[in-house]
Amino acid sequence: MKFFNKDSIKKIIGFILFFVIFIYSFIIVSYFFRLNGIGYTNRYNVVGIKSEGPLDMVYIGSSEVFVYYNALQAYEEFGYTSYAMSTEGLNCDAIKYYVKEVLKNQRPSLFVIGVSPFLNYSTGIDEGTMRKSTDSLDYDFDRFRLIEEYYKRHDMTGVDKLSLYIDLIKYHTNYDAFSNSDAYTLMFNNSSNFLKGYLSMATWQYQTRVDGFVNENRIPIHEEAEDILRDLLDYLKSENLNVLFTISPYCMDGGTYAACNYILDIVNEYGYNGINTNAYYDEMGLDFEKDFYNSTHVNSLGAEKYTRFIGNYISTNYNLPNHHGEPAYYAWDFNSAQYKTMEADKRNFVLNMIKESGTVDFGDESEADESVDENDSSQDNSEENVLSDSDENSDENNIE
Amino acid sequence: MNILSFEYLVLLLVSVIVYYIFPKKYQWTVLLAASIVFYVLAATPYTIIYVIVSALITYFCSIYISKNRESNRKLALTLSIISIVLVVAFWMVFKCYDLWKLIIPINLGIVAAFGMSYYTLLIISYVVDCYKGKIVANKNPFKLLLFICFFPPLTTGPISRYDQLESLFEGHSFSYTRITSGAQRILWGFAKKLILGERLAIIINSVPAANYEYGSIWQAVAMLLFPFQLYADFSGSMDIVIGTAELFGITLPENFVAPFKSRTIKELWQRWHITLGGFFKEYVYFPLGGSRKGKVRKYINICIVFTLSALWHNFTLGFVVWGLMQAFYQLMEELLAGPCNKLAKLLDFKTDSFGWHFFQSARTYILYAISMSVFRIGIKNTLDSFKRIFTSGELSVWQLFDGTYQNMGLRALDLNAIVIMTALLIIGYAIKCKSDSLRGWIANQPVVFRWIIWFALIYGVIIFGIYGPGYEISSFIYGGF
Repeated sequence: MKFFNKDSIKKIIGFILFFVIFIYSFIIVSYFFRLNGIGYTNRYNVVGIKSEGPLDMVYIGSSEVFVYYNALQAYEEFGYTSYAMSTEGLNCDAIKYYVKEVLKNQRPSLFVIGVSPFLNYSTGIDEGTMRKSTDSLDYDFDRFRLIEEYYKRHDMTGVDKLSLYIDLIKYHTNYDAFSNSDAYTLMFNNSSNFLKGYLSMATWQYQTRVDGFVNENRIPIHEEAEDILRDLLDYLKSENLNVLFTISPYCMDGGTYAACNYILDIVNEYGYNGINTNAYYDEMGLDFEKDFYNSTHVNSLGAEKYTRFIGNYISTNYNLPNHHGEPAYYAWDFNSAQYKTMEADKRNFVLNMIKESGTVDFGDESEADESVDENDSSQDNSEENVLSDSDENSDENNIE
Repeated sequence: MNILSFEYLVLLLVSVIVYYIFPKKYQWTVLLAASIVFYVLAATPYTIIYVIVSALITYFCSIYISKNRESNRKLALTLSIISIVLVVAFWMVFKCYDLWKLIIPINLGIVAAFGMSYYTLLIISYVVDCYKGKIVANKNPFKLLLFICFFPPLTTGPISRYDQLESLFEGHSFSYTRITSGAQRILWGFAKKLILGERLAIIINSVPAANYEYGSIWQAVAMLLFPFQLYADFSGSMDIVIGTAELFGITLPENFVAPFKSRTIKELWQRWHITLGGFFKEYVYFPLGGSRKGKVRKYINICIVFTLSALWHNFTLGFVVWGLMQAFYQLMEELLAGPCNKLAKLLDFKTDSFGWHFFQSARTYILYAISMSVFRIGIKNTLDSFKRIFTSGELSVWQLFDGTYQNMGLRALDLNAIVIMTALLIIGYAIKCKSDSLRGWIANQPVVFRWIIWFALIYGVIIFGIYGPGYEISSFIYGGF
């Protein structure tokens, strides 16, 4: 045919090549300029899982996960591999899509899902919080479907829809990316995460423990939140996944506890288990005077206790393997040992901060040091208890 | 929707695909449909009524003019022009003085005037050309409607004549070269507007005449920068419009040809907004007698032309003064040309040298900038600016380097973008002078070099363009007329 002469074919090939290069480079440029939060924590938490080998457990949720759960500690104490795939203020709409994101690369024996996004559901939407999830995901159809979900269930007035789909429209003026090594690291939206999604909060705020809120009441959650929860459970069932639902410990009240009971009832309907760890402060050894940095989040002291508690619960009830000593997991052995030392330094820093405040009665002076020694018996305290300023992560104090 | 919006690009893409799928005989219907869709989405659904009514008046008058005797033809011509002009004048007065609020409590600024200033001139040129026998009245009212509301130039021009747009009704074969050429021109327009025009606007809009927050030098900078910013904005829009038309195989006339090379104000108006100047020359200046009835009459005609041009922009005294300034400049150039040439010869100025030409161009630019200050901020604020510049005692060039630009919301990177884009404009012009067409010169380069240029420009617009959430959708200055 006349149309398909040599010149036409050259032009068609040239056009297709130009178009493909443009699309590919556009995606890379979009990833380069993305900045969905203070620093790149949210992005590292989400993309880090892509670099992981086979995982036994993936823990999904909001800051109730990444501030609470230390995967390296869990490996060190219980031998199973895990990852905290979580972002600040995660909306419940996004949880199903995070599960899908995990399933693209692997199939863990257990998913653990923090349910506080369902408790915090609102029809209004904070664009910044929403983007912490949407703008951490790869450019693919699941991401577009998540955006459509937001439009279906929330009041999106004032949110520019096009810039949600094509986030480069929003972030293209982030010129600081040119001088930021994290932007270059994440330009393919892929990077390993040494801490497996954990963020250690080496700071402290005095809290008062309140008891008496544990009850058997039920208070329904928002209708839309329940809809989303049931949709998630349907999906989990259809994929035949093993799931545990959790509520992490914080300054809770009776009404919220009753709402948690409502959620766990729904979870049980689908044959899944849930645990509200707010009923187990004593079993955890949680000390509200020392273990929190605000009323809703634990610090590194509290994270150690929570991780130990939930790790023990999971190991006991879900029969996850212990990989200690297996050649394929030497990297985990090495990294968890290395991080144990770093984390101990942070816990000591917090304890010293508390001691200096004079707010908390340690009783015996040696209790503060002993509490570190008890947990880190293999640690040499002579030099490694001194926290240097350079160890502080500037993102740590800015969690919502 | 405006021609910078994503929706416009989608409409354009769909229109181009459908256009070339349609049989050539009916391709013009695709343009008409796209123009109506654009109009309805850009304004409100019922403002299309004004266009349709104007098209009907024009259609019947032009058919009548074509078929009837001299006196009746003249009457039809006069009535059609008066009725169209009255509609425009009516809405301009209402818009300028907010009188519409007394009658209808809705935003008639957009509802009534969308594209009206531009298509009115099209209509006037059409009926006059029909009367003169230059063109034959189109018997198809839908084709006439397409001529009037063809969407690319609808809101910013260029102002074309009917004989320049007859290719609207012809069929065009798909041409890869034409499509890429049109797309390249659109991209260049986006670069001028979003990288350069919008950044300069930040400086200019941060220094209103009555605001003494910034030093006197910034008043002078804003005044001198405005014509350049307007050029980036307006010529950028022309590139997008002309590039869009090129995608359909339609050639629109150029509106800017290196205007700042002009050595006189008269030459400037032959290089700046060329089609508007051409319209007034053809349909006002020449019918009034032009320069054929003596010097005094010539100067009066020039004053009338520029007054009407000013009123076309806006129905206010400030704009009239601006128009009269242009006429005054031209008058003074004519009056002083003789004595100045004699003086130059006496003093042995090298009037063919680059230095002399540069001086003339700089002088023209400064005079134009002063008049454009009236155009932008009015007479009183311009006088206040001058007072501030020359009497405050704070005029110091070093104020430009004291970080004041950061208070305007700019960063060093923004200034770099302005400088680089300006340099690209100059380089592009230099290449165009040597090889007749910048795009042609690029097309003759090796493929890798070509692609580097186009990808650099694409990502230059995407990364350094001023657009997106937090910015108002960039509208063109001339889209307001």
